[in-house]
Amino acid sequence: MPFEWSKVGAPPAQDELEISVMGPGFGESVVCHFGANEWFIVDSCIEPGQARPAPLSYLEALGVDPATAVKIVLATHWDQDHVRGLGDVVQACKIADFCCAKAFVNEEFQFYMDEMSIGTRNRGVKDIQHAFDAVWDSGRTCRQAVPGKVLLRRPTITGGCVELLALSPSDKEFDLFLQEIASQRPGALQPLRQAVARSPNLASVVSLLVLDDCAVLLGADMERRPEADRGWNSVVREGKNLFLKRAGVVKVPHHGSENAHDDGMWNELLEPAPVGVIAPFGKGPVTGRPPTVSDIARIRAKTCKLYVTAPHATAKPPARSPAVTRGLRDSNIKTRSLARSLGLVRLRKPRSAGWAAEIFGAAYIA
Amino acid sequence: MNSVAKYIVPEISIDAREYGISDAFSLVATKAQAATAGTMYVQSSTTDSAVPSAYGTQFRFRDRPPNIRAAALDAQGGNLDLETIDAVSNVSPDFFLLGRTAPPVQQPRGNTSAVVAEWEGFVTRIDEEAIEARLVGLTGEGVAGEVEEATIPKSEIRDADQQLVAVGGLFRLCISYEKTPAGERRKYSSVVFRRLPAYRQRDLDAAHERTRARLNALRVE
Repeated sequence: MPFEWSKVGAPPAQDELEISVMGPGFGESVVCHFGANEWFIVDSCIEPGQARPAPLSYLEALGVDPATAVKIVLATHWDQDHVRGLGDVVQACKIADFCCAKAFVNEEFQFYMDEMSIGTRNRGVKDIQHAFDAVWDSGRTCRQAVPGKVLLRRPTITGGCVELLALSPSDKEFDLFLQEIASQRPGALQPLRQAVARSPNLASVVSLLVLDDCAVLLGADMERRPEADRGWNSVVREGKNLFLKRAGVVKVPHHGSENAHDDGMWNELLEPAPVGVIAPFGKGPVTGRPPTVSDIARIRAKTCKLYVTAPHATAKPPARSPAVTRGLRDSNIKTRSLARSLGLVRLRKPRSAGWAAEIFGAAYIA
Repeated sequence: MNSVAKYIVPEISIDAREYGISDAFSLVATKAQAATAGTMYVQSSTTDSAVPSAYGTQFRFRDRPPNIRAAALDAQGGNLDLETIDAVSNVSPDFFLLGRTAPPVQQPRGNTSAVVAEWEGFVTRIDEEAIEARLVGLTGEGVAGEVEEATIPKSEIRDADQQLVAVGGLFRLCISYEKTPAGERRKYSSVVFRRLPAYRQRDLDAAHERTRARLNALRVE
């Protein structure tokens, strides 16, 4: 069912903080208002059945002009569920700086991106390449996200300051990501292929928004690793070193998946019982798609309120002729539908008040 | 077919049905043929057995006289990559009309087959016994236009294509019916990986130039 953008209502007040997480069950984007009609966008996703990036549709539905109001577009990592429509977002947000992991602007990744765009249908790099082209064409700045770097700092109309701080990826992840990219670069005579991100999550940009009396942790797709210099271990260490304010809201990392659960994150970077928002990941074997029932139970126990942007896509394949069904079954080929619908979780915090949540579309309270 | 294709087998990946040919074909040229006669052979991508003789059709390059083409190949030193490029890029648009304008040919007396559903896909993950893939439905009731994920046993991939199985590898999945002359119907699936188009050195070089230009101009903080 198409998302009813007309229902999202009015924009936030000038001094109101807003975090809106949207996700169609596969893909996610966060839109944030940090005061005085200034916004930033983290990642991009597409409303199912539409070509328009959901964050742009949302801002336009609020009556906000992305061309002037959006100051930063942050791409957390190169994964299809985070970069769909990203190029359109960067192009539409005409004065926004583009922020991305340091590895994105490395020569190795840039070479890979252009190599894989040879041929006409390579969705895998098209969006991220389009984003870089938009930055390049408009002469804007590309800001590399490294741990501890302030991506955005603005005075607020209340006399305070808002900061968006990057907490990852670590140097180790930077190296490993580029090694993997190097191994995937094509050579002459090899058949054209689709660019597929294999393990980009650990190289994603975790960020913390700090404004006056509150903070929001945007967990991207960061995962847990046993090594001290990788995954959440390195993020938590960075956060502790910087004496960061603990966040009262968390965009739960990696769709609530168990492999992203880190006690250090919950205990060191977040307030007790924060508000949690999950954007699910509707791909892969149906039983393992995060968040699973046990993922939700685990995260619910850690949060005061937990919201999910959309239920998982139906596992039922589309109706098709018996001949096709039998043919697939006889060959032991199993297919899974990727049909889905968009949901939006919106958290608004007026000055000196608590968070108020609203859900739209397919979103639900877990 | 194998005997003439032993030098190289560059295929031109087109969906021949778009050009009025009733099955999903790929075009196969050999080094010797491309250099001299410019003859193209048609090989079905949905069955292993179909050969051009069954359809009584031979395709020829029309855009360049054979002697000029041979000279061009000599100048390239028989470089496989460039030869493959030429095989792709020198096909005249007229060539594709042949399928439409060719006179009706006698149906083969062997088995006939009909595709009931077809997907285009690419590999997203390789496991020990199966591949995970993203599929986009091309034809078939309830199939066309649908985006799905699939788990495909490696045993469904023909031996000749096993070496092409790589993350990102593009393929077609077909569910077909085959009918024998005796009237027996058999259902089967086929997974055919694309060999061409391939990355060309000159395209890679152009991509690198573009990357350098962008990196030089990009303002990075």
